[in-house]
Amino acid sequence: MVDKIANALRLTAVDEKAAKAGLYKGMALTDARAQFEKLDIAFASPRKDAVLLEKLADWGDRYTPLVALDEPHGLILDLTGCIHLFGDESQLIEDIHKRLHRYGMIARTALASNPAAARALARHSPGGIIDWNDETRRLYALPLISLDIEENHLAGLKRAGLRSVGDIDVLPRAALTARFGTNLVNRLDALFGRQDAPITPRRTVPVCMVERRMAEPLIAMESVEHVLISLSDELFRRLQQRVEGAREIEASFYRADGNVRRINIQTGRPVTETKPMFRLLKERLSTLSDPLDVGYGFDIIRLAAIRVEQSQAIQKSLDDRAQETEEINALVDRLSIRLGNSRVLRPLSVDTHIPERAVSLVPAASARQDMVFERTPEHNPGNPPERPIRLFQPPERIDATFEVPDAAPARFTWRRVQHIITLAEGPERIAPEWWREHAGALTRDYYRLEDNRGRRFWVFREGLYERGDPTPRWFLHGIFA
Amino acid sequence: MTTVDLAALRRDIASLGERNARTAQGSAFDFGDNDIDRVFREGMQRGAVHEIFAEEAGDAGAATGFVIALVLRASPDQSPVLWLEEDFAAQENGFPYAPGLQNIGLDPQRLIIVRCASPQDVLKAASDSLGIRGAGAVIIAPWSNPKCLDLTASRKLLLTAQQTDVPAFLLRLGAYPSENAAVTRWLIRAAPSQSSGANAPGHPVFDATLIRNRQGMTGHWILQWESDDHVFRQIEPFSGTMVSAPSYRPPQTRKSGTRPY
Repeated sequence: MVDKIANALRLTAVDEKAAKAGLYKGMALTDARAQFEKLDIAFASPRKDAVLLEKLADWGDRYTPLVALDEPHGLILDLTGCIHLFGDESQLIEDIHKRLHRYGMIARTALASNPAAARALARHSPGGIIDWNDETRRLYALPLISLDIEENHLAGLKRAGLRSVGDIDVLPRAALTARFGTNLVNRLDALFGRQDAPITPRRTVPVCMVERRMAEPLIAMESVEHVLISLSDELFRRLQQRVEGAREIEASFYRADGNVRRINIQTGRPVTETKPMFRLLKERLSTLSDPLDVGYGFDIIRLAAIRVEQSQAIQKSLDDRAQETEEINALVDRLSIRLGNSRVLRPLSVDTHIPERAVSLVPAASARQDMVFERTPEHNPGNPPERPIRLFQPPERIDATFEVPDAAPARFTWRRVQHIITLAEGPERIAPEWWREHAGALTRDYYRLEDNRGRRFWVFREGLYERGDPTPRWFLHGIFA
Repeated sequence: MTTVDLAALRRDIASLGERNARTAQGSAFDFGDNDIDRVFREGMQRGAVHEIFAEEAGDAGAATGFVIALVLRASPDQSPVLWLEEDFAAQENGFPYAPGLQNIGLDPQRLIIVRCASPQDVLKAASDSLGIRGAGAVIIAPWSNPKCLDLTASRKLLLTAQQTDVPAFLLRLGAYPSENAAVTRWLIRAAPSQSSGANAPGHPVFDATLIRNRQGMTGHWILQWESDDHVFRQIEPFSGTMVSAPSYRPPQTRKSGTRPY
């Protein structure tokens, strides 16, 4: 494996055979070629490496929800509380190796009491499961390079005849800090767990999670559904104890070949029961553009509540009203999942005079229930409607003729049909919001018109007549009832 | 040519309908105007499909307004109104505009607008929406005459609406009447309003022709919508045919194409 480092092609990784032959990481390619004429080389691709690492991290989720990337080539798993699921430590580590080996990968692992120690031990020692009593000794034996400090500091320490971590750890702190900065001391503290160095999990840790591990991978979709139902029963039982309902649920399917598929569903209100949740999940599964592929079967299925919300304590004897609201919410969720969130909308009033901005349509699934639509200030009770019931977006160009320049049109042509105006009211002047519009936005004069057949329109002229715009442009913006 | 035995299908469906008409004691709603309500003695069936056509492209606003007015008559409470509209219908006739709907009496907070890409989506969403009891009304607005909105599909909608007693309003824009299961069928045209003074257009006025009514007579009215009181008011005397149509006519005697609608 080669890559260009500081303008020279250097080896960035060598395989077992090459290592035996004396090639090493960091060696210039020309030097290596000088020794061996027939050298198989491949160009490094850090991007592909990163993708692979992400995939592996997904796969690592099967062991614990707390997986952090240790770029470029490592993963840190926080296995606290997860080990008993796999028997004991050695069985778990063996499982990791066995599975990775099946994918053609070789891993170096270390299980230690803190992430920094495990990382250093995996990289710079034979690794394995480190006995807690033995950990300090093992760490002391590590070479200095495992501290991950700057090159010049490393050289400085080596010059002083210090070779291992143990050599440094016994030295007085003050002197070390003075000579090499706080970094070195911090690294030491992290290594020995004297300082808390939490890992950053790459995914949000679910509030509540249930999973099923299958002895034999599940291939039939029906059995997958069965598992999902019993998992969700379990999940909601747990949530119910906390008087919580799920707003966001993630189902993860771990395929036997290491592939992981996650399906996420969001709901408009906290869900507390299996039935509505399962219906949403099925709806989502059936509308996936990239369908769930069972492949060799799923060996783990996991259901996690990502986001929860306080739910009203469920009473079986709900009154009709509440149940109807419940049904509407379920309907909104179902339609949102089938058609997409942006297609199931509720209007929200916006405080602006610009007609097309006065309403914002927000996804109903995420809209707050107590959303209030403000009464439009334009309307006075008893008066005819001031605003059209249908609005064209964008406004449509019309050809208008008028008798007096600065007045309502006498007739106009829209979609090749001429309308002769009998009733007109206006203008209602709406100025552009200069703080929002681009510089060219023009003031609009709106008119309510009715033609001789009783059709009512909302039209506007763009630009102010008195400013001497020679050719005012007219638009039809909406139609009235 | 279709290979389906249409006559048999119709017989089946008719018998279904008869059974249902007897079992579903659905509620009804009126127009709020004595003159029409006297004609419409049993009122408009609430849990049913009512079909409202815009007579011409320019009458889309009037037809939409008429539907909203019926929604307000049928469900005057704060129950949610589902408006399922095909994208093309909205592009052609404008998008539902909340401030204007508020002006004629519909609280936008009740509105749930569902934008559908295809007539199939509209119908599927409609059958879902009618299937629950929570909705105050469902406005179903496909564009033109989609193939999927046939006798069977509309019959399914009707049955669902009857079961849940949720009114369904088929808002037909850019469409012509064809055979389906709607209980009433209206042709709506805009009509000149009574100016509110100073030459300004007045309250919405509809020229409404009832061309089909499974419950009774057909007719023609000029109706003004009183946005504040939520009632219709007849502004021209009744000019209906006063011919009572039988509530049930054997469908076999009806041949497609021989009737005007």
